[in-house]
Amino acid sequence: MCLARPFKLLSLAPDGLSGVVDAGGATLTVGLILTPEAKVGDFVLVHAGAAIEVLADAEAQTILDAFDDFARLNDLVAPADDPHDRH
Amino acid sequence: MTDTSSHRKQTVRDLAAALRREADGQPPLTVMHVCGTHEHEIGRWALRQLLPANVRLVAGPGCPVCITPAAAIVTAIALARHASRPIVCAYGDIARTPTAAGSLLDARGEGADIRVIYDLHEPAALARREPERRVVFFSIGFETTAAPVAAMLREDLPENFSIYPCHRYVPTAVEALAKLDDGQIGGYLLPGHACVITGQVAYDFLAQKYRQPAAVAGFEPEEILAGLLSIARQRQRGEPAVANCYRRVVRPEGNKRAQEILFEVFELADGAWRGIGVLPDTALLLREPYRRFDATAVFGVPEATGVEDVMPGCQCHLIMLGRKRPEECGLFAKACTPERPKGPCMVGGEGACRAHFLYPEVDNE
Amino acid sequence: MSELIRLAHGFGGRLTQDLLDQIILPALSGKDGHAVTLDAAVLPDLLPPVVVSTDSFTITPRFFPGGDIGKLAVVGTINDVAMMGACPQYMSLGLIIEEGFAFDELRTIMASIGRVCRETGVRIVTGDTKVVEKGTVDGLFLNTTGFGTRAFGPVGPELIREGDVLLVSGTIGDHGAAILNAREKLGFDGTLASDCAPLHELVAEVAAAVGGALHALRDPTRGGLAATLNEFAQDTGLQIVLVEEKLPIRAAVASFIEVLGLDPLPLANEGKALLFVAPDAAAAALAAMQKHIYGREAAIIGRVEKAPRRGRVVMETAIGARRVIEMPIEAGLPRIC
Repeated sequence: MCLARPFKLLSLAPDGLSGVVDAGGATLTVGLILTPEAKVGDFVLVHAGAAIEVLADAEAQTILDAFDDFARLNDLVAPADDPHDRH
Repeated sequence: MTDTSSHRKQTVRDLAAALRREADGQPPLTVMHVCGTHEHEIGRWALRQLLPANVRLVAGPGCPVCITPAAAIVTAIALARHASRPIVCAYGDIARTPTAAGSLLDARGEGADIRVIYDLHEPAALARREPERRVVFFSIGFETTAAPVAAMLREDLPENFSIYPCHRYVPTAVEALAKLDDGQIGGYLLPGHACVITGQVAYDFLAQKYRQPAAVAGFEPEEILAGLLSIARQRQRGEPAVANCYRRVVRPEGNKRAQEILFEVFELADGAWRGIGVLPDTALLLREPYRRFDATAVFGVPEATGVEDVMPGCQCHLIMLGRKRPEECGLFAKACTPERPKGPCMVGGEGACRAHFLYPEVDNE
Repeated sequence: MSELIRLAHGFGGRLTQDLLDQIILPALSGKDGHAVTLDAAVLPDLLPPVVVSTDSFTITPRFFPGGDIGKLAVVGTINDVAMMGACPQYMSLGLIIEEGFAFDELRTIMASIGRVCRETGVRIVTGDTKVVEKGTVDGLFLNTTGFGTRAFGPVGPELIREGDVLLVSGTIGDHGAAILNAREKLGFDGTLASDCAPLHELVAEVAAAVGGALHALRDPTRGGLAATLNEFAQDTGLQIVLVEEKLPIRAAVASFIEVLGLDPLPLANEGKALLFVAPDAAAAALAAMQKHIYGREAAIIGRVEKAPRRGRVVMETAIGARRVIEMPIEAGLPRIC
């Protein structure tokens, strides 16, 4: 099965139940029932045509920095909160 | 782009080195993951090469295609062969998965109308486009898939649409595995996207009841290594927890809306896992009033029974429990290959045996 | 004249002549008014050593972004001939047409064939047309056989040496992705297109730049880089090392394969060449390709090493680990060439 991927939400259908995402230049229609809070411009995690979570627009650099710290700091059991962490 | 890729390479090296330091001088550690996509990505990046010699990462029963009982596939074929000739929709891998009675694609070769889909909304859309045909969605997968399927079932659906669901639930399956474990497993790498739905809290029993370290991990190589490092550090401290190493995506409590919708439409019951047997409370069955969409009732086709899950010599049931490696199966890469699979692990795009076959590790020379 | 091809169009009589005169021959007339004879042809300009190659084309869908079965049939054989060091001069064209095929569709495909021939200077000098009962072929099958005089070489796997550098002339997976998307209606329309292109000039430029340092070349069509490189590995008994980070892939194709969980290595390419070049000529080979319109994204993607046991293909993943690349086994992918 397809790995779930993050895509940017470009538009919402009038009933809000689906939207169109940018899949690397192509556009895909995805179901948004499980992510009622998704807004245009948000990144959503899409699995088999459905959005299952809304993500923070975190830059790759920041994410990797958090993992660098995690490797270095022996007292951490998980990568620490980063400023983009919405959860 | 280049900056990220060389940064990533360095981050991966640093995490692997940290894992080596943590595992140095310690007893061997075997971590089980339960996600087919984890196995696929591990193979694709050749990640096991970067692990220290005393850390082993084994694949549990995390490939949804591999664990779907042969009886379910046979039932789907029987639905396709109904006199009214419905269109049966399924994902590509399950359509190719063989049983002693053949696969869905074999049935297509004999005249059944089987359509491969990539999007779970497609079967209903197809039913709308072809009102004079009946459409059956043979729907498999874990909660990552079952939750949006549940959402779909709550919306308006055309009358000619029905569903034959065969979904399984990972948290209860992991509990069953933890119960079955005889001390071999030292920690669990938890599936990042299934945890998007259930949250890490669904696995608290691992730390609280079974004293097992666990980490929710994403799918990039650094995310998988971070999960392993977390487990190794937890073990070192003697403080098992369910660490979240995929915070940018997974909320501790999961997606509450998705959980509400999932359990409004489905309920847990004992479920058969191909090659393993029945694991309690691991099947997601339709609740009322959603049973009106159940294809077996709509078409009067009962679920098949007495279907052989495992071909002679196949070791998938042991491989999926992490008790054997694919290379230790006598059929692996000889009688059993992706072109002529003898067991489910060789078929699913994320099956342990298929992953080992397609991404064989370079032997140390 | 009817709108659909009938069995009678294949009987060799008046209707066959109509088909030839009105659809097939006009599409093939050369620039110099060269009349196309049909049953057989003398090839006066063909000097030894002669390179010949044949291929059949059964692709569906017949029309796709970037080309159609007609263009593919000419380009595919041009490239097979070019990979052996020849500039393709002459070609034969065989058609097997299903009863009921639309004339308009055939006209469009023939026009495509004619266009590619005029652009590349290839002359179709002989051919054959058959019409078969409905259901015995899927619409239209084509066969082309190409002939050319070898202009550079010899080239071939037997010349590949340990230490050789592996180059690719551009982005990988374009054709396979476009066809899969079109065939399975996956919704990536507008961003994916076949890379179908004739490469005879491109490879000739490389040969002119590096001479005998160009050891072997092949276009990775069906089965993609995975199949082609495994063939070379088996033929040479050497280890071919691919560097994942160096593989050029278009962003749209990368997205497509990510979403579907596909590997780009087995995807077909119809406008790309893989080249094995002696190490000190690699930079010159790369520069020669990048000057050409079909080689702008050429890249060095690997090297040849001694194999520990048997010939094989190994890839250095982006995180620095190595894995073996096997011959692709996907039987499920649609007919792509």
